[in-house]
Amino acid sequence: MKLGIDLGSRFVKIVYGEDISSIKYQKFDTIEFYKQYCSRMAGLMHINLDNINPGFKFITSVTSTGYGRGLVDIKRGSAITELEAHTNGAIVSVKEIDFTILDLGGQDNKVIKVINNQMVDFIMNDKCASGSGRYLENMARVLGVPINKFGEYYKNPLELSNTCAIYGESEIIGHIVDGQTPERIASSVNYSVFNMVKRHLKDFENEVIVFVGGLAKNKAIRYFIETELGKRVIIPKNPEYNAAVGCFVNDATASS
Amino acid sequence: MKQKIGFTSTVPIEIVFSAGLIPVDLNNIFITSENPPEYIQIAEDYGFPRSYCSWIKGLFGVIIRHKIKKIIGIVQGDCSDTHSLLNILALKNIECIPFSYPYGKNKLLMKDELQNLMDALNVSWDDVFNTYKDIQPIREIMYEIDEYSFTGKHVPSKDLHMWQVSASDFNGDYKRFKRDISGYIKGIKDEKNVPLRLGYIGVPPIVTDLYDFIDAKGARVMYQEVQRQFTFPKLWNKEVNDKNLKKEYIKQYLDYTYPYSVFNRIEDIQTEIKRRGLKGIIHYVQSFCHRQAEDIVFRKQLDIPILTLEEDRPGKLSARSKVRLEAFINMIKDK
Repeated sequence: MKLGIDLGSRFVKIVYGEDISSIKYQKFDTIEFYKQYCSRMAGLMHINLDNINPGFKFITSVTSTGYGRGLVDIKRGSAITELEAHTNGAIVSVKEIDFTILDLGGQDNKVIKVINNQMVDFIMNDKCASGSGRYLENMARVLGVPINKFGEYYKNPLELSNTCAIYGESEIIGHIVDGQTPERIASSVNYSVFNMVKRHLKDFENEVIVFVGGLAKNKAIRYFIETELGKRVIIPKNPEYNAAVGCFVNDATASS
Repeated sequence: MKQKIGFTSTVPIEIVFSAGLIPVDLNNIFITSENPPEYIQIAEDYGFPRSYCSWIKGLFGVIIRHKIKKIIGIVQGDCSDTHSLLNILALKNIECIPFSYPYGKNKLLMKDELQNLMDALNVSWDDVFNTYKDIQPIREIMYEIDEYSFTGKHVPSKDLHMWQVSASDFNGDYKRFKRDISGYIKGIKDEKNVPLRLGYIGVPPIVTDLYDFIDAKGARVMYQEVQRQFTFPKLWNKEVNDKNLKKEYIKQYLDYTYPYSVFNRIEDIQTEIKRRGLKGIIHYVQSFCHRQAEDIVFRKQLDIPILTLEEDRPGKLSARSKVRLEAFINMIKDK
């Protein structure tokens, strides 16, 4: 039995099973995960997988990814970068061999160009949470729009000049005071997130976009990609688990 | 006792040594010190903004901490932040001799710049030639080490970087430097398994473990664009005598690609990519540096995978950079 684990900044995602056709999924809040299942030894965090699920004692190989992978020791484990994990995950999820992966996560985003099922270029934006999932969550809270409804708004977006996850609030409040509707402002926030990655999606040229990560279910962003860029968007089943799936299918001899 | 003179980027080093001064590349003092962030703190305490080039802040900190009274500041061909640095140093009564690499590579203007510096330091062309005869053989050893780096010899990325970057001031003592580098080249051994061939373009890195990280991942930097330019590679095997010295010396500083148009650099880089069989390029950019925009030109003009790596503060590689480097190296290996 194999296991793939994505040690993300907001959630830890686990995928496990005998083969890809019968995998199971589990998700944990990152901080709670580290508190409950990790112990510190010799400067490293050790994860005891058997504590998470007794069935995990049958696991023979583990591949991890995410920023936590360098800090964490897992028995029977190897590690790959998030870029390689996402590429692996997308390859097994779609029939196409040329595509661009768009991963919009909680705090960062990645755009990966895949040609003939090989990663050939990539861009990451992880220095600033501007236009990230966290930015979107914060603005949803200010607007009072439930996060699971936020992606429904895409009409008539305004241009927002400040997409900082913290200071963007002031601009939103300014628009509310000006009488703009929460729906139109939500549409503008969604457009800002799309705007952060628009150029890279264009530059990488592929017609197919494989949209993964926590924001993949945001219909507005999908709408902007399709209408403004003329691309075809594929969202794999369980898109937020894409990197964990990529770990699961990774060769056991991947570099750590 | 010989006086030290600091400088902010490559200067005509023969002129400086001929004046009996000890040249101090302020960048090297900053980055090789035990605690580089300390110099940045000096600058930020003085008022330098947080969002400002850390190299400039480091240079300021070095000048203040080490009480350097005289410097040569490159006011054209490196960066315009140096202008501001020199203005601030004037508040501290530090003597600044300006030096320019003239935009457009004008020969007459270059000649004037060299002459002005020589006049400021009371140096003649005969003095320059005598020092050149001592220094050029050291550069010849550097050219050999550079050739070894991509022809089957074991030259770790860090070593290639350190030798070439030190060509700016020869660590203040070129006689001792010659002994050290002569010993090093004798110890270079053959290498059977050639690692993944990478090139590095852009200013030298502000992080200290980049090269060790690359080598540990089974790759090797076999071309260091700007550092190699510090060694003036076009002088290799050139016949220079007292009759043509002035002409060749001026030409040396016009052939130096870094201070001029990015298209001069591209021509040099394209030649070396082909000659060295490079599989990928790491383009290092310093945070808040105008040279970040040059990435646009490199990506359009160079037909090779490029990783753009940005760092801000001195210290170890960030986790962000490690992910990028590892993914980039694996991506090229898998191609």
